[in-house]
Amino acid sequence: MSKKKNGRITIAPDLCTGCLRCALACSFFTSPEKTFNLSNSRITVLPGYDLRQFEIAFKDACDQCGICVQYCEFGALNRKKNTDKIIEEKHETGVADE
Amino acid sequence: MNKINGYAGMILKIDLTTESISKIPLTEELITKFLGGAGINARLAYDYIEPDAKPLSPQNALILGAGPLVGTLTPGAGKTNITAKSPSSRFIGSSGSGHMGMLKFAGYDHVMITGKADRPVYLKIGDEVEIKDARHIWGKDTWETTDAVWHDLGRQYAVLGIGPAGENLVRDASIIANKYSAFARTGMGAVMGSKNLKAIAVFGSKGISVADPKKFIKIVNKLCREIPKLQDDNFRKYGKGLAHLEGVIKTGGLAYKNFRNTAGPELLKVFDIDKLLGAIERSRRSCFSCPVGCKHYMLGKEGGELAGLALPISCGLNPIITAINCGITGWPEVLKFAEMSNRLGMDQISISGIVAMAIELYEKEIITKADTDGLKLEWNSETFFRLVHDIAYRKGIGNILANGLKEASQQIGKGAEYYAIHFKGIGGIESRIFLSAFLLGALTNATGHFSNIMFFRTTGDELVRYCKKIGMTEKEIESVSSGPDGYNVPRMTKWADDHSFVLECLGICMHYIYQEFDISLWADLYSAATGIDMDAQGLFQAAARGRDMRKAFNMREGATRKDDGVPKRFLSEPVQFGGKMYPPINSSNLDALLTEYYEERGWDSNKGTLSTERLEELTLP
Repeated sequence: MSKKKNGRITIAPDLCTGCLRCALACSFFTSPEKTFNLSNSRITVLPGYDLRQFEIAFKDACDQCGICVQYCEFGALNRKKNTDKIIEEKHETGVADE
Repeated sequence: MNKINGYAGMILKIDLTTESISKIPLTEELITKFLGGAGINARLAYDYIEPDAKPLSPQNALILGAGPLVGTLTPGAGKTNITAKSPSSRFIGSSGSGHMGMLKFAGYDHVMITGKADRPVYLKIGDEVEIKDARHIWGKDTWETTDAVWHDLGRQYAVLGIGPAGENLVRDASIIANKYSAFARTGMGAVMGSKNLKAIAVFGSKGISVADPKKFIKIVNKLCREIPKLQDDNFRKYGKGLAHLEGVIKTGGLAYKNFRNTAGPELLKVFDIDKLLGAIERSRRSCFSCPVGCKHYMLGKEGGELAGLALPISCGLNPIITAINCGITGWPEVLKFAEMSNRLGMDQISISGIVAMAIELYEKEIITKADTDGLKLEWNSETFFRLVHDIAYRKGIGNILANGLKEASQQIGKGAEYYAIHFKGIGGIESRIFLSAFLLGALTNATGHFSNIMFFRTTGDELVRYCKKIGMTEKEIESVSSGPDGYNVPRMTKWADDHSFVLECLGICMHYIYQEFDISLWADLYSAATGIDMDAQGLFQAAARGRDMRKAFNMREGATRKDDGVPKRFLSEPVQFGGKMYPPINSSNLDALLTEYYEERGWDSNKGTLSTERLEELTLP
């Protein structure tokens, strides 16, 4: 079973403001060349037609690393505490400073 | 030239008459001198818009710009700029908004659109650029327009659309991004309409790299940690705009009935924010890459006063300020105006100024029922909404009023110009209660729009802290730190304006939270992104070049010192506020202030223009 299907990152679309920082962070940290590119992001955030809510989805390539959670300032993306260690490990090998 | 990190490295040029599409590399010289965004846009406007080009002619260029930090994780780096010759002022026009950052992923820092399509079109700016038929959406409002383009291309596209006002060449028409984020000021929507251009859709799959990823992310994370600390309780409870309502009212910032008077603190009872919050469900909205989220989506609660309301809104304050000037009070009316101006695509400040002028002209019998098709113009919501609608569709008297404060008042004649309250043709703000760098900036700004740096009564240690934050030297701080208003207003105006322009060039929002950070921090971030060594002084020098470039544009259009004046009403009528009468602005004092401002800028203090040497330095090819 994939990590995604374990549902470890939870989505609260009513808290999403549409800033796209989750997708920007994902594209940057998951790309070997470290570039910002929304097309390469493994999370998509689309405005609803009535703008009442955003539609958030993970692409199949998402391995639930959790970098999107770290850059969501609004609580729209969350993960259970027992998986926080994965984020820390990711940052030790990536370019995040903490 | 190798592409510089942070930049897409390309300018897209589209001629809608010939349907030719070309690319011009973004030069290192442009980057070095003007940074990006609004700065490079100013230079492109000077180079590509001929002096005799009429604002609504094919010769005018609509220029889009996204600064070097746009498209990255930099907090607040979603601010993009649109520049053109303004149909409201006939000088340089400019407006900013936070939903066009996708431009960088399409592979462009700037887009220049000239010519006029032979039918309504919209632009798809993605990995491929296409001019697409828009006949099926012509006539629709900005929400319907955005829906139609999203249906066609997908909702990953940022959509900039005009409404009926832009189509009908209403001089103060706006461009609305993603249904609610406005390029509101100086009539950029009318320029778009004059080109038969209904919408611009932007997305792409090109990446933006940074020179030093590790250092870059370190600074980004530092900013992310600081931003929550800068959001006070009022901001968290009410959001931007509404959090400032009490302060704006208490400082006399709310003009009433066409600036004849100023609304007082009693308005706080009418605009009870807690009552509003009780009547709606509200969620936050952000511009691109902004962790602050000062915008809102408002949904009226069933059975309540605002039932049926479903409104994404940029700033709750602007529609209040502007509607009050037309004698309108009450949440339902103000929010209806917010939606109406958004869907029709109109600048709230200028349009409400025009409506207020029309009502007063009717009172003074300068216009009569013969001019209004029998319509009685009064300070009420019926008149207000009718005129806003008729201006957008150029119906009846609206056909004249749609020509903007300056031109419409001249067309009406019979002394109407006196009642047109504007700065260079752009709707203005009350300036008589007290002097500040914020207010003087409204006079001196080449675009006619007031500065976005909220510099009012900052004095003493707070002033010194601000000056140090923006990198001023001890000598420079000394030169601004005294004066009858607690500081030297004209000299400080220069610095506050340039602070705002640094952010505009980099692509950072000018929200007060982003104003809090040291300029040296932005300089470090710019260096990490681009690999170009930069410091606070370097950023300010580039900002001053951009500001001067705008001045050069206006000088070429014949602007003189008299164009930096205030509305005649402000020079001749006192204004009452809080039980006290404030005198009109003394024109001799104003002259002295302008002279000192020009000196601080290094301009010819008599003429208020750039020196020949500075002009050559800026404009040589």
